[in-house]
Amino acid sequence: MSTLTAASVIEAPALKPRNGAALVWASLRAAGIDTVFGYPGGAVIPLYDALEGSGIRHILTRHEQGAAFAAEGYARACGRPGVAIATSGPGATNLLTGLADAKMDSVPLLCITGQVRSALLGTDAFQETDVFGATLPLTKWSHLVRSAEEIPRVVARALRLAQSGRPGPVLIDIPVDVLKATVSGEPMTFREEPAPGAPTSSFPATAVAALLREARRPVILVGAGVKLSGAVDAVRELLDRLQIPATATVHGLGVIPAGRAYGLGMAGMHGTRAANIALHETDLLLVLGARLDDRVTGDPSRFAPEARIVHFEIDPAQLDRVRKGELAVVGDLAATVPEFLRSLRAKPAPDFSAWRETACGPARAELAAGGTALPALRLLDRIYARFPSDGIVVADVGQHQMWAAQRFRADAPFGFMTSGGLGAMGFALPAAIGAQLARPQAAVLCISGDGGFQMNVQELATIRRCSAPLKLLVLDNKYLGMVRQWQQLFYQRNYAETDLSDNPDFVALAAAYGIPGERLGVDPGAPGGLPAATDEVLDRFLGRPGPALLVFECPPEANVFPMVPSGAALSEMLLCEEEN
Amino acid sequence: MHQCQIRYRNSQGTLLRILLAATRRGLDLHSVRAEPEGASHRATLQLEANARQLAQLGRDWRAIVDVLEVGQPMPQGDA
Repeated sequence: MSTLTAASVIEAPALKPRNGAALVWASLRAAGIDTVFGYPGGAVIPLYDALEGSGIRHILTRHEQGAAFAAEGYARACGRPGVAIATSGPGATNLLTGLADAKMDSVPLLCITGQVRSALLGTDAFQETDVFGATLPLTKWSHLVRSAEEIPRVVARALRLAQSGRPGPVLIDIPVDVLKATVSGEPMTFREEPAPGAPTSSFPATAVAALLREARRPVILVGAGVKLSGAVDAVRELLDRLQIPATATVHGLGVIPAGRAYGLGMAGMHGTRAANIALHETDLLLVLGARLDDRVTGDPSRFAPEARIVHFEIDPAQLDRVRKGELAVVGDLAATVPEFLRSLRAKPAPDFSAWRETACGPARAELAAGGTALPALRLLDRIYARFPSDGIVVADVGQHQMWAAQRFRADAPFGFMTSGGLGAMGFALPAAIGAQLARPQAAVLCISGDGGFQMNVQELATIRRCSAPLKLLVLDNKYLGMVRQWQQLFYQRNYAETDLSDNPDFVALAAAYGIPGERLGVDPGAPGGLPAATDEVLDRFLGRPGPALLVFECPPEANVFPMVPSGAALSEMLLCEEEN
Repeated sequence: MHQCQIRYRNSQGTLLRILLAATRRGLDLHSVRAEPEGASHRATLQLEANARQLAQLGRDWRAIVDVLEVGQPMPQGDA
């Protein structure tokens, strides 16, 4: 993943006349930012007044949460920071979910908020919120600007910090009088202090070699850090060299090349049977850039119970958080994995082929997909078969997200994005817009459920405004499906407030925004439950030059399996409906 | 009761981030003292936490931008 050039000397170009608002744009341009997402309001009018001629492309979303998620999608798709802008008060608070999402999923996001004028700070003025205070736990760094002269330095530092170490969100809050303040027309040059580098421990080659020598059932777990560090190629070489059974978190999907004998598929709550059994049985777990959250581990106290864990991680705060490791390799994977490879050239790892054949063999393969989820799974298979391997799938949150992840087979490391850590419904639609704008030549498929689609449905207007040729797939089961699944399995089918049978007509809704759409239902008599016209519908849907919507009406009680119940061990996964 | 010392650059919000790392875990802060020390600042916190929480806190504090040094937590007598 690329990062901005780490120039140590920043020059904000001269503009005459120039005010704080113009300095914001000039500072962003100086740092290589050319696209921002935002929504105007009283406290940021000066910023918008100075937009024209700034060289920045502004994408107007229809809600500030949409701006934050779109900026995240942009950042996730191209690796450069996403920037979202909102006014004070409600505009700023509407960014909070995006900030929290970016923090959980390590996305470089810069939010710039307007604030009431300095003299009114702390007076409960109209549209005043202590956004600096409210966002402290959600941001990596933040700053309330007190003078226009600070702006170039603050913007440069914010962008540097958003990308350094474990990437994350930062926020700059700027009172409106600071935006309006006139500053010198002379170019401003200053030296930006380098961001603190990631602490790096020297690679413990001897210790790792000894652990590999003693291991009988090693497993590799690949997480988002592999992508964020730009270590995909090195990790793939490592996987090919070690030939150890390897699994991925939802954010690690796409790193393990398809078709490899050591591939176990996705790990965790809705991971594959083979991956979860291997994680339960392993005696040596090499974790590459994953923070071992509870959706991956199940009950942490029973996760990989026999394993010694070697944790490769850039953020020391993630070590030993849920499970004590045997050995920590702290640092950027782009540095530590090549060192690992060098050590293997000097001393090759043992042969684990017998264990690999057991862990990845046919006896542990998935049960044939069945039950009421089959039509949705088959539909996704047919879409993925038509979808370019370098395309981007953006999944929302819920059952469709897990189906989309389970069936995802592309080799593209940046081909699948979702709100993994925060699990924010409503993420996909705006994030897909950001992804499309970051990579205009890529095919982008947005997969939502009927619940999440409605959480940011107003961004259909943004799609139309910027002519983004997104393909929008809504898996409509007329329920908040994942919650309903839990209610079915663990709350005696008490479907309290998860019924969405009064959903609007999504095709008509899209049409109101100028987006063509059509509907596809299940044919119970057809193989896989898909009607004969499915191929024709999919060709039309994916082949349209502009945006298009396809609503697939799923069986209402379709479930996602395998499933590890909350608080259970990975070995206690439910494999199919019949077990319940 | 443990006493923890953290040296930090006194930029906006750094002290609050240090405190939030404790409060998000529901830990009661018995006392907090923050003061300049040379070119930086030092925060001294007294809190009740178990060994696992203290280890997590130490890692979280080190990850905060502008935290310069985190000392080993020192057991204290009953407050």
